[in-house]
Amino acid sequence: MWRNALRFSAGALAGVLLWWYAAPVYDGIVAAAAEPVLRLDARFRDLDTAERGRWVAIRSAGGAFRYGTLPVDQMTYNVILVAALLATVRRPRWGRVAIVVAVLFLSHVLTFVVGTESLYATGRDPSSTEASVWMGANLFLRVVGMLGVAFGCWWWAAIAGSARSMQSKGGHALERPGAPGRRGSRGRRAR
Amino acid sequence: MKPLRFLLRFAILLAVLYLPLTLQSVDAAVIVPFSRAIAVVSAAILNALGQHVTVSGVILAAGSHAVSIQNGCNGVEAVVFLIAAILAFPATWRQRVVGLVAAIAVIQLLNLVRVVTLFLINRYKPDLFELFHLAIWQTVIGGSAIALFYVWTTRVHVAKRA
Repeated sequence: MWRNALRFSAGALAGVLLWWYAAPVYDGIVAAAAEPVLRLDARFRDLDTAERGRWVAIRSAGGAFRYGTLPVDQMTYNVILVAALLATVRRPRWGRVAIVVAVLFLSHVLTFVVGTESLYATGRDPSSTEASVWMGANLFLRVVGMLGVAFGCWWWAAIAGSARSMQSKGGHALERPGAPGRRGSRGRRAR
Repeated sequence: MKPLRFLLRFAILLAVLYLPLTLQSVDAAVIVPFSRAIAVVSAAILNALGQHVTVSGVILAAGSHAVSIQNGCNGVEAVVFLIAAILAFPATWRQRVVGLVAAIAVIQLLNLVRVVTLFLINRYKPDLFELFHLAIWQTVIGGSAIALFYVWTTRVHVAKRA
């Protein structure tokens, strides 16, 4: 347990450093990836984004909508939790880790898209149904979705990655990430 | 239980449990009073530490320094996460109730520590506030919720094997 706690802390530290120093560049990449999705909404057809430190500026080339900013680092901090959780997996399956990274990135793009729609929907008419829906989705993704995505990614990479451990004769046996296999069939894992 | 089926059940439960909380009426009737209660208890702790804090709704203030307990800082997200994960996992209702009560108590105690320390950081080291607010405490609360759920699943499994 203490070993896992130590690994979690080390992963969290690496995650904090990554998030703190890479956020401005990463936020710009997330915003750029979200642009084509947002342009599907005719109101944002000439949307352009630009990284501004830990925020991203959203503007219309033709003045179709007002200038806005989004605190994108507040949409991506679950990178730290994912890094901390993955650090507890002693024999990671790198293919799954790559998929986790892709899922995490896509979740950030989705959060940015929903955040932008929410920003402008509340600006147009905060009491409208549209604004309520976008605000609800935005709150869901930024508050509980961040935790849910991090957990889902870890569970899939660490727990579900070892299918036998989930489908033992008992029905849903679990192994601690990195702990020796229950029957020792996989031998002792790296310490 | 198939892992992906668990994740799907978890995701559906998370949405079903949390989306109603995003409604303004529910927020006003449930979440804001809960956040106010956290503010009152946190203020009592801070005052016991000699901080001379006053409470106004969800805002804790002392002089020119203030913090506001908003959604995402009241531990509700971790509680909803725990409920969704524990309900999605195969266990008896007794095991679920015991697990939830214990885990929620731990999370809310931890959240009080978060609010108190964030207030102190905002007052004495404001340049570190954002780092602790977003990076460190969110990771600690999220990691703790996941760890509590994980420990619970191992207990459930041991009970099932016995």
